[in-house]
Amino acid sequence: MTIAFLGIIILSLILALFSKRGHLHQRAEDFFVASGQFNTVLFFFLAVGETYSIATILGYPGGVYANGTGFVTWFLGYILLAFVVGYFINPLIWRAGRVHGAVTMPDLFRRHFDSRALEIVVSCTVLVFLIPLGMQQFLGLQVLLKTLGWPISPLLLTLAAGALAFTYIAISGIRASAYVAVLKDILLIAAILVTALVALDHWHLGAAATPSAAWKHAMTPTLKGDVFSITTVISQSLGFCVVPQTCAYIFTARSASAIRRAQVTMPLYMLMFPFLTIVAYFALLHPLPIQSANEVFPAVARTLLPAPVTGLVLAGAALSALVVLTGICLAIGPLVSRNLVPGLSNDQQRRWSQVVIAFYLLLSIAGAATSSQLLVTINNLFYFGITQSFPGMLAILFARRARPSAIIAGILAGDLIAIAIYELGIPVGGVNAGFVGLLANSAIVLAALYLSPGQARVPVSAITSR
Amino acid sequence: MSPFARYTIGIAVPFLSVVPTVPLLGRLDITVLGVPLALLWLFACIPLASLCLAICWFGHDRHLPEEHIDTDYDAGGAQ
Repeated sequence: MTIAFLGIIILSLILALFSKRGHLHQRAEDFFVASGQFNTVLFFFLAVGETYSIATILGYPGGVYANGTGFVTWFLGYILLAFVVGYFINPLIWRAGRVHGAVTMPDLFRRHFDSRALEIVVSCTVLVFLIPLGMQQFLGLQVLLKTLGWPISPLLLTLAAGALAFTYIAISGIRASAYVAVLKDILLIAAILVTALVALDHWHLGAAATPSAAWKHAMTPTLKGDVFSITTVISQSLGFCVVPQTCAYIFTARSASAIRRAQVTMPLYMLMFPFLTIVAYFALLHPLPIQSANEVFPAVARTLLPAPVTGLVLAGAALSALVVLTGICLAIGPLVSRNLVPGLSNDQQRRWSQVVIAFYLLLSIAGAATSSQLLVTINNLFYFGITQSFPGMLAILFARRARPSAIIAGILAGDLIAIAIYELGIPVGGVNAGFVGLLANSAIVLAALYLSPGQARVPVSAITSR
Repeated sequence: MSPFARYTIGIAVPFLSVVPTVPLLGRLDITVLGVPLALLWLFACIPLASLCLAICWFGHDRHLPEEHIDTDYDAGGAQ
């Protein structure tokens, strides 16, 4: 198991080194967004990689195991519809990035509205809500590395994983991330298929367990549960387009049609979810040594598969965390070195980003060492805040007279409302807290647009290319 | 393909197939081989969404002219 696991990690490093070929001296834009040169295939693997993060591999079966199929509705629903929304919105975000020479999402806001204040607000919001996402990847890595059974402290192992993620980034930035993503996705598809099919084959072996009463209760549909599912699907499918990493991936694409072609096939990539559901049900109906819901997938793999195959499965899952982690890091680095600290030269942006990334990795490792939240809960928290950039993004793409001050007010109000509802447990009839924030945010932006229109600007959707 | 048809097939059909259809189907006590109907329908929505986007691509977007925008990342805008 150990040899197979380490073999894949070494192979991923070789691929990362290979990605540097022909790009020895990278400028900042090449390091962060590959100078917008990626074709459909590389864009596809980068963008779809976000679908199969550690939250999916561990969090999804864990969520089904802990909460039943009501959870499936919103988790699958929002990812599926995010691809649909992305088909229409992402090519416009790509155009906006090209027109404004953007490397990060706040670049778009600053350059379109000529507002430094808006750039700072968007950067800070994104930074705050991205922090738990790095923690989420390390929490997942802890679960995976524990399954390997190495006699090394979990903290040391996560530090090694952080060092590996930093190495990918240091080698060639987003290019290394894309090349490793190809390996990770091939491995992960095989891992999910093999684990699920072997689980089906072993379905009747062993004494069958019975789902707990709490689980059966969670399976019973309630109005509140349905309201949560629907509002979560809507807000998170919209929010997916303004996830900072997604924006960075969009900027790597060579053309708008490369994005559209990739978006058409992205939903098919979700055909792995029925197989993950089989794994979750297997764990639920068979007696397995599972201490927490997050351990469902590695526990089933370890119980059913031969050790070398388990090593490959765990390596695929570990790479999913590492690739997503590199994407987050490459989104965070320039947020600081380009958006929050202005005036750095192109070379300085790249170097300071690496310092910021190293700091972020350490912060996330420390967070993971002191937290044990369910992975999907962190996923929800992340979207509460990130989604609030969506009305502003629509203003860039479609509105002529949106006010940057209204967008700032909308983002701040949306964030505050969402966090207040979540933290104070304010009853809103099951409506997703981020959705309530998004409604308030949109109302502020729209009210300003019609009651007190700002300076006229050409929306990106109205710009025609030559 | 008209813009109305493009948005209906590309956005309305996938959205309506998931919300509110899946929660509504979840209310029915119907299972196929032990699997709840709502879950099976949600899994069926995956190829359906791809099909809808493929119709938009082949019926409209594939024929759009390729956009050429040369970007200056330092100056912050198109050249």
